[in-house]
Amino acid sequence: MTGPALLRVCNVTKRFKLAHAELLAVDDVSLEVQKFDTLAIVGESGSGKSTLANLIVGSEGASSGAIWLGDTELGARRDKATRRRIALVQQNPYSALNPRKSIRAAIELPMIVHGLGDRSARRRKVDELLRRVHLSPALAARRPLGLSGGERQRVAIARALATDPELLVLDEPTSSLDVSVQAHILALLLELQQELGLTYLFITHDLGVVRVLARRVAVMYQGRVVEEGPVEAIFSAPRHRYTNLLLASIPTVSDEDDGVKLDWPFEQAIAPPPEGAQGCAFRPRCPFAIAACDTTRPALLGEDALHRHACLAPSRRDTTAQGTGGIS
Amino acid sequence: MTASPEFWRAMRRYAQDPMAVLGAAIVAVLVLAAILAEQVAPYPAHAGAFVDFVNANRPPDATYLLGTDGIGRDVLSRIIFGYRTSLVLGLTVLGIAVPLGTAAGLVGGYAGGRAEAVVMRITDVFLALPSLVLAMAIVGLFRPSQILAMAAVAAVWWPWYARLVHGMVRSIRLEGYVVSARLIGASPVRIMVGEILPNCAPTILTKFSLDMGLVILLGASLSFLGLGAPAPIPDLGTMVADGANYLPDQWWLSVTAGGAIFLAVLGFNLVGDGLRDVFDTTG
Amino acid sequence: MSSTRPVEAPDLLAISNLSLGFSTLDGPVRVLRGIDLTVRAQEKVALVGESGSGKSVTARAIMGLLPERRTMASGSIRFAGRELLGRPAEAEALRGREISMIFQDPTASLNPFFSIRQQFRTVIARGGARHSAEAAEQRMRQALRDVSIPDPERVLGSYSFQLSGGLNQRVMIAMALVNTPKLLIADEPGTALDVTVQEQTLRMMRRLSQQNGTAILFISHNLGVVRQFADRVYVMYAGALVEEGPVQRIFTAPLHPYTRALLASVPRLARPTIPTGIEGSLPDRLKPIQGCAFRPRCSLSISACASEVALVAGAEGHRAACVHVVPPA
Ligand SMILES: Nc1ncnc2c1ncn2[C@@H]1O[C@H](COP(=O)(O)OP(=O)(O)O)[C@@H](O)[C@H]1O
Ligand SMILES: Nc1ncnc2c1ncn2[C@@H]1O[C@H](COP(=O)(O)OP(=O)(O)O)[C@@H](O)[C@H]1O
Ligand code: SF4
Ligand SMILES: [Mg+2]
Ligand SMILES: [Mg+2]
Repeated sequence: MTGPALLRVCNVTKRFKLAHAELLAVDDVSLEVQKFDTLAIVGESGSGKSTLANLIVGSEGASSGAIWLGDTELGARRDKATRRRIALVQQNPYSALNPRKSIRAAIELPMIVHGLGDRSARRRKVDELLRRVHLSPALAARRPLGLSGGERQRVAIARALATDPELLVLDEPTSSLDVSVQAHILALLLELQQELGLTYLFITHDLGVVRVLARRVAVMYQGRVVEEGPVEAIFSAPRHRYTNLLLASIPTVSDEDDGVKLDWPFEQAIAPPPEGAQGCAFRPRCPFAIAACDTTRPALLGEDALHRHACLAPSRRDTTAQGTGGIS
Repeated sequence: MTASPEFWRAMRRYAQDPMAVLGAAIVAVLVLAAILAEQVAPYPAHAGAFVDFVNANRPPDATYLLGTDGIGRDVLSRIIFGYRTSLVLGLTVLGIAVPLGTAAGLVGGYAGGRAEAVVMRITDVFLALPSLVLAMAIVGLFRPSQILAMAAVAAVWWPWYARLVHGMVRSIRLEGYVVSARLIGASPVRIMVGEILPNCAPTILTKFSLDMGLVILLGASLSFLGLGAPAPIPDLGTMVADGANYLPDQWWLSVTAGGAIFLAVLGFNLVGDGLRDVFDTTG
Repeated sequence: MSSTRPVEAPDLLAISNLSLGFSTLDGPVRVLRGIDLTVRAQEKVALVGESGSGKSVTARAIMGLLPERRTMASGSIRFAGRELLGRPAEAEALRGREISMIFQDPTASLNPFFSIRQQFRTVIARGGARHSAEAAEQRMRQALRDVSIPDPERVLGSYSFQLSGGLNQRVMIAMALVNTPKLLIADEPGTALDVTVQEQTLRMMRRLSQQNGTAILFISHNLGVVRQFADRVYVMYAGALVEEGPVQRIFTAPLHPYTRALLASVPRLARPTIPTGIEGSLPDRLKPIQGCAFRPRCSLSISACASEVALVAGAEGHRAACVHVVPPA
């Protein structure tokens, strides 16, 4: 791949022990994110997106595999110098801020923990960060009560930037906001990336958001990456059938978007896979399955390194599943 | 807590609940009376070793509003000083139990794993003991003294706070702000004290107020059993117990002291309920 | 209380001038400010707006599910000519029979302590008609097959936590429709689910409502979903309706600045640029609203916006409450 990768996730697996079974939340995932790039991770809930994020930011340890940030391997135990370089923005802005602490105290905490600057330097930095996220420094003295979801998420972003991190992991940062607010947060994230040279790992289930914010996208299904590549390529000619289904399900607001949206044979009946089938995880929902899909677990491969997919009966490259749509 | 807008909002909401305001008024009057007992009691000397057989066993009248006891002491004065005893008891007991229980709950809830198991097992053992029995046993082992009685009550009281705080910490530690503090490398102590504890404070305060009433009541039962403050210090429980010997003729002795206990318990309970409503409402 | 518009089908649900407030510890809040909304028989009507605008309260008011003691309401809610507002007994009699409801989170709206079969039986019993156990069983299975559940037997024997969110959603739809209600109120159905499941859910609801002649009041904050689903759309802002019209017009020629701004906020597939968004936030519910509620956030506001702005009729049953809307000549 081109350029130096800032983040490299190599064959990472995460198992959770449940009462009676073991759950493979992240299953042999390998990904790279280039410096200054944005990689979006999409997939339905439970597909392992947050678990992957937790492994990267270090709130969980991987069962196997390795994660690298530049030349540093990220284990579950991390020194402060490493923690500084990665920050997490969570989904729920209402739980992200301590209701009993001022905005200033919230943004200051990372600086205090990392011993950055004296009191007045921290003060200046808090003001500067608030301005960066387009909030008034006058807000610093207030507590989160009474702030809107969007304002809270801005504060959370300001806090994430307090240690000047290189990589921001954003786990559905706009999913619980109204669209009118989401738009501003997206604009802010783009602006911050350009001004500060940030690298984003952006988790979302909204493909519209992927389209406007990310350059590359990885699609996860049941813990595995089933397709990964440049946003344009994947939106216009997805290879994995699940990606196709996702793109066909987007609720659009205009005829113009409908022209870009893909088709999917929603009404087509799907033959149940044979008992004890070992194959592709998407098989039970796939109308395009072939015999091999019942027995073979497809690997994530690609004709070129930039666009990989894990489908045994992929959509054709030039057209989409049903031959319509595609970005002209 | 500084007088933040949230504080005033809470005050406004509290003020809208008439029962809570009544409770606050009762508690305020009792606390003031207890503190200023020497000034407000009509016969401060009667709180001590005072004898006046001429005026013994007088029913309530204009001179002795709540009557006098068998050796001529003014019951009202003794009740006012009795409040001082009760409040000191409550504050001492909870002053030991609350910090101890809170610390145990915080550590147990946040640490998880083996530390949590150990802390909560100890808590359970103490919880399993009936409070009065344990207190009596502890006091019975030694010479009855008020200090021992208080220590005994505190020993059975802290586990409730440990439980309460433990439960809160278990859920608060999953909140985004705690996760975020952990990820940037904040120390467990900083997280427990700086992030989690402030969010437990309102609930602890509410329980504190409800418990003041309960501890006063328990203290009364202990003194009823002869484990109260040593004579001649006025003690509401002892007054009820002693007065009960003279029912029904000198009814006012136990009725007024009993009423005094009831009033204190009621006041603290109303305040506790009011606080709970103020802190509880999420909207 | 009377509708002056020409009516194609009889109004099944007619809400007129509905105002509603709650008394809270912080003081009284006004949540709905004079709502006029109708759903005709077999019609699919959407109510769209940002969170906090009052959509769910409207739904709960229709269902008679608001806490009576703390609610102050005026106006009227008529269902098939019967007044429901302030008559909890009337609403209760209709619930689960003539009107049914689907909530946002299917797993949370099913009781984890009873099997799907037990809950389904209660729903069928509520339908009124007497069924033998055998007939009830048949109906449950058929209802589940109608929502494309191939193995009703297994699902009926399960508990909600054993089923996926998508399956629970289908079960909820099956339960909501099994007594062939005249009106289905769907409050953000499938928002808690994934787009793929949501898409299937909507298809299913549309098909079944057509089969049974059930009208649907569809509540959502998702404009894309509304566009796919509804015949007619009401746009709600801060407890008042600011625009209504046929779905095609709302999405191709929106009149109200709020509707336009909302549409401009949606990320677009065809234009990969950051959408515009709306500055500011909903007005404080504790303060009275003067004139157009959207004024503080509106780029087109003028001084006239500070006085009452009524819904003005445009073409094709399209109406909007904005000073800039001029009635067609
Ligand atoms: N701490 C945990 N213990 C057990 N199972 C977990 C835990 N965290 C996540 N899971 C499970 O792992 C799977 C992936 O979850 P998650 O990463 O949250 O998915 P997503 O973010 O894509 O919705 C789910 O089945 C979830 O229930
Ligand atoms: N029982 C209640 N008491 C006080 N306020 C309420 C109550 N229910 C809803 N509200 C308020 O009414 C407003 C509208 O709520 P809701 O109808 O749930 O919005 P929506 O469904 O459009 O997101 C919100 O501001 C909400 O806080
Ligand atoms: S009435 Fe005025 S403020 Fe309201 S939407 Fe129209 S132009 Fe904007
Ligand atoms: Mg997640
Ligand atoms: Mg709602």
